[in-house]
Formats: sequence, structure tokens, C-alpha cells
Amino acid sequence: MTAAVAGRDVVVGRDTVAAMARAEVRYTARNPVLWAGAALSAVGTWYVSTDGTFTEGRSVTDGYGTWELAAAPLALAAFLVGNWAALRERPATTAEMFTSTPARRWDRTLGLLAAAGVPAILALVLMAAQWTAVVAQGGVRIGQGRWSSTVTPTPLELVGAPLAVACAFVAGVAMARVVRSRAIGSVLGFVGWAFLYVFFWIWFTAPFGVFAVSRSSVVTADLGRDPSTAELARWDGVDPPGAFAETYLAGSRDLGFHGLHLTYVLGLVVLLAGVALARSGPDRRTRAVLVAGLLLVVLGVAGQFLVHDGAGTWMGSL
Amino acid sequence: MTLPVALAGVGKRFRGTTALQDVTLELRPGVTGLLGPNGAGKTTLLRIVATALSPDAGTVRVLGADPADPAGRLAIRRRLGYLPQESGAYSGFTAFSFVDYVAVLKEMTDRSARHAEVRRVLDAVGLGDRAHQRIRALSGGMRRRVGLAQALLGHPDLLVLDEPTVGLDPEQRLRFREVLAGLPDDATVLLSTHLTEDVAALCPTVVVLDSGRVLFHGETTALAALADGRVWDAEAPDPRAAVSWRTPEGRFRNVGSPPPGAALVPAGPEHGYLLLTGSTAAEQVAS
Repeated sequence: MTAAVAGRDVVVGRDTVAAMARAEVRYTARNPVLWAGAALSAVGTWYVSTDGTFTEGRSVTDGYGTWELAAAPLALAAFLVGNWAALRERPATTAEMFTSTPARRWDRTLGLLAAAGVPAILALVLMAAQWTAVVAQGGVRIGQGRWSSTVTPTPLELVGAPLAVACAFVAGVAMARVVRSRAIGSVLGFVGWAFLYVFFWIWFTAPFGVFAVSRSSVVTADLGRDPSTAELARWDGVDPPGAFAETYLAGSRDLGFHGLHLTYVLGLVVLLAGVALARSGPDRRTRAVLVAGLLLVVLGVAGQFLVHDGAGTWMGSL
Repeated sequence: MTLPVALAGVGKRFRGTTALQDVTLELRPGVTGLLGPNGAGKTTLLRIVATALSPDAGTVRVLGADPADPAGRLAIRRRLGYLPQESGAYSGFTAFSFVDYVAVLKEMTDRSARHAEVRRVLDAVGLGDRAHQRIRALSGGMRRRVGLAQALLGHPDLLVLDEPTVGLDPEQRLRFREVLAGLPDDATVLLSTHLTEDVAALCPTVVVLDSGRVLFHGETTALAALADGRVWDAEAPDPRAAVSWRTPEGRFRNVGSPPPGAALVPAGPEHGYLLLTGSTAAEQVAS
């Protein structure tokens, strides 16, 4: 048996929640759907790490701009695994059985949310492998032709994909707490995932890029048809006018902007966790989680708008 | 001594339907059977005792605590085992992993002690050799026993079992009776059933519920005694009987006011129950 929080003996103790989290981590880590997603992401990671996507100097949006794209299958799997795990409880059967145990639904949801760490760690491993492969090849080349440069990805850039995948898992749990149907939740999750990953070019456009769940540290700008040499030199890489664009498209790694973007994604994870908890029964800690998530989201979004002039330009490059 | 369960004036309505009405009940340690026809309010009563449902009226004390108070509710749940009518279980889990998960929810945080307890309850319900089989591969009766196993976790002071013998074959029912017989004397068990033979075999005391009201609460022998001298055998249903039903031998068992010279038969709890609840329950017993 465990001791509850001192002075507030109305909820189970932290060691019970930790034990629930450990159990959920075990079940999540054994889930074949998650491993299928991880396997597809691993293939994607291997492909983009070896086919020159990051090293040959392609378009600023197609090359380094797709740094986190290989994690997309893992993100979808994480959403489904989180959603299905949260929906294991059926209202008339298991939920009824669990109601009479000391652990409330709120505690069970909290335990499940902790399992978001499993897909996040898988994503981190994949990103670390990608990082190692790219660094071994001399770094990432941004832009093409004479307006390009090579940079070494920083550890900060390993964080984005794990955060996005964790966000997908938590979103799956939150979805389950709002929509009780596995089928509807899965379809909505797939649509959301397709919007975020399949149509990834949307997130190179302002202001949508600010709100992307997954994007690289590269920010882009449209330099028009006749930029000055000084203006061209200001950027890590530039795509000259071509088949797809009549203007110069510039891109640069902006770690400050990226850090703020990661703050926003972290806020999204916390906010969605708050929604899942809010839908799992009353607990005074839910409000703190929601407020923390909201603050991080506001900080991340406002910060991105503040540090990058182009972030607020409607349909401009970002 | 604190009564394990004490209800006073408890009422519950669901969308205009009265499920429980002014139920006052005090249960002592031991096994109490809850009998009643379909829709009598048995499940509602069990859910209230198991803290899964709040009453609309009246007061409830379970194991000395008030389930309306969060601290009281937690205190009750720490000493409670509950098997709902439809227990369900995660079909993709093994019996062991599912019961282990419930053990975690019951605050058993020490892994090795928890696993030992899971093995104990699975052995108790005869599933020790099926522990690592997925629940979807188990029969309905075995799944029911998985539900029973989770209710037994941690030697609860109060066991609330809703139709625990449904889906069990005769051998399994015998084993279930052994499980209950093996519980400590100070444990309290409240179980609902349609089977008066379960009550006769298991329950020293019985509560008869009908239309949300308690019709009888007392010793099972006293329930049988209600029908003493009022059960008789006949060639045909007797119009003077409150209830009649056909026996497997093709004769008719009648319960009510016997005619002079009637062939009286010994009364059991089912006869007392039928006298109280009438024809609705008679159909259940006959079936």
C-alpha cells in the first residue's frame, strides 16, 4: 500500500501514479502498431540520411526544411496507440470496475500520459541516428548552387521530432477523452496527421508555420525577383528562380526562432494533457496544467512573431 | 462495532424511473445474498455500496466511512473488491497482466508482492494455468473468473459481487463457493444473484429486493420459513396458489395457501422468495 499526498488524503499517492505510469510505459513499449510506425520512420530516416536530402544542397524547403519529416509515421502510430489505450476502458464494463479502485480516472489518465515518453524516445533515437549520419557526411547543406552553406545540426534540433511525436500521443489520449469512438477518433487523427505532415509545405507559409507541430529550424523568406547581393549574402542558402517560383527563396537556420517554436510545441503537449485530464474528472491540479500549457503556447507563439518579421505576413514565406 | 454497510432511506431515480426507494439496510460481516427479479434495483444498490454511484436521497456508510466525502470514498475503495455485472476486461491483455493492472490501481506498488498477489487470486479462481493466455482467447466463464480474481485482490474487507456465478459451469460454481468459504470470518460479502440455490449454499443472510424496495432482510432460514406449510405438489397449477410452476417431473409446484389435504413439500429459500415477489420471480426460478 502507498501513502497518499500528505495532508490531502483524498487521492492516491505519487508512487501509485508512478506504478501506473510504469505499467502504461510497458504496454506502450510492447505495442506492435507503435513499432510498425517506428520501423517505417526508421526506413524514412535511413533514406533521407543516405540519399543526399540534407547534404546535396536542394531547395531550402525540400532539404534541411524536411529535417523532421521522417518521424511522420511514428507520429501517426503514437496518436493511434495513445487513443486506443485511452479507449480500452469501456464505460459499462472496465470503467465501472475501475471506478471502485482507489485510482481515479484522472490518475489513470495521468499514468497513461506518461507513456508519451516511449514514442518520444523512439523518435529521439531515430533523430540521433539521422544526426549522426548527417554529421558523418560533413553536415547539412542549405540552399543550392552558389548561394548555399553547410552547417552542423545542433542538439536542439534533435528535440523537435520527439516533442511532435509526444504531442501526437497526448493528442490521441485527449481525443479519446472527448470522442469515445475508436473509429471516429482514428479517422480524425489521420486527417489531422495528414494535414500536419503530408501537406507539409503549408507550414513554410506564414503565419501557419508558427503553429506547425513539426518543422525544422530553417526559416524562409521570399526575396523577390531582384534581391541585392548583400541581401542574398545574409542567408544561409538561396533558391534562385526556377520552375516552381519566379522569385528568390532564401532560407536560414534560426535557432532562436526554433527554440521558441519548440516552446510552443511543448506548450501544446502540456495543454493537450490538460484537456485529457480535464475530461477525466475533477482535480484541482488540472487548472495548473492547463495554465502552464497555455502560457507556454502564448510565449512560444508571441515569441516567434516577435523575433521574425515575416511570421506575421499573410501567406508569406516562413 | 462499526457496521460494514449501513444504508438509511436511500433512494435513486434514473430519468423518471425509481430504481431504489427508501432503502434502509444494515449488513454485518459474512455473506449476504441479494435476491430480486430483473429491474428490482439490485445492481443500483450494489453500485451505490461499491461507490460507483451516488444516491439521490438517504445516507450511506460503508466500512465506517461516508462515500460522499472524497477522503471517505478513498478509504472505502482501499478496502473494497467489486465485480460489476458486466466486468469486461482488456481483451488484448493476458489474464495476468489485466489483474496486475487492476492491482496497480489498487495501490499495490511493490512489484514482486503484487505479482505474488496476482498469482494467488488467479489460482484461487482456477486460472493459474491460464494466466498468460490472452483474455480474448478465454471462454465467457473464464473471463468472468478474471473479473472475480481482480475483486479478490488485496483481501478486501468488503466484496461486492454482481451476479458472480453468471456464465460459470457447475464445477466453477462449486469452486466459487470454495473461494467465498475461504474468506476470513470478518470479511463482508454482498452478492446479487438470480439463483436461490446459490443463496441457499452461500448466504447465511439474504436481502430480497423488488421494485426498489427491501421486502425481506434476515437469515436465509427465515426466508425459507416464510413458506413453511405453504408449498405443495399437484397435477396442475392451483388457482389458490400465489405462484405455480412446472417441475422437471411434469408436476406443478404451488406456493400460497394450500388446499386441505394438499401434498406439502419442504420449503426452501426460493419458496419464501416467490411468496414475497410473486409471479415475476416465479418465471425466473422456473427458467
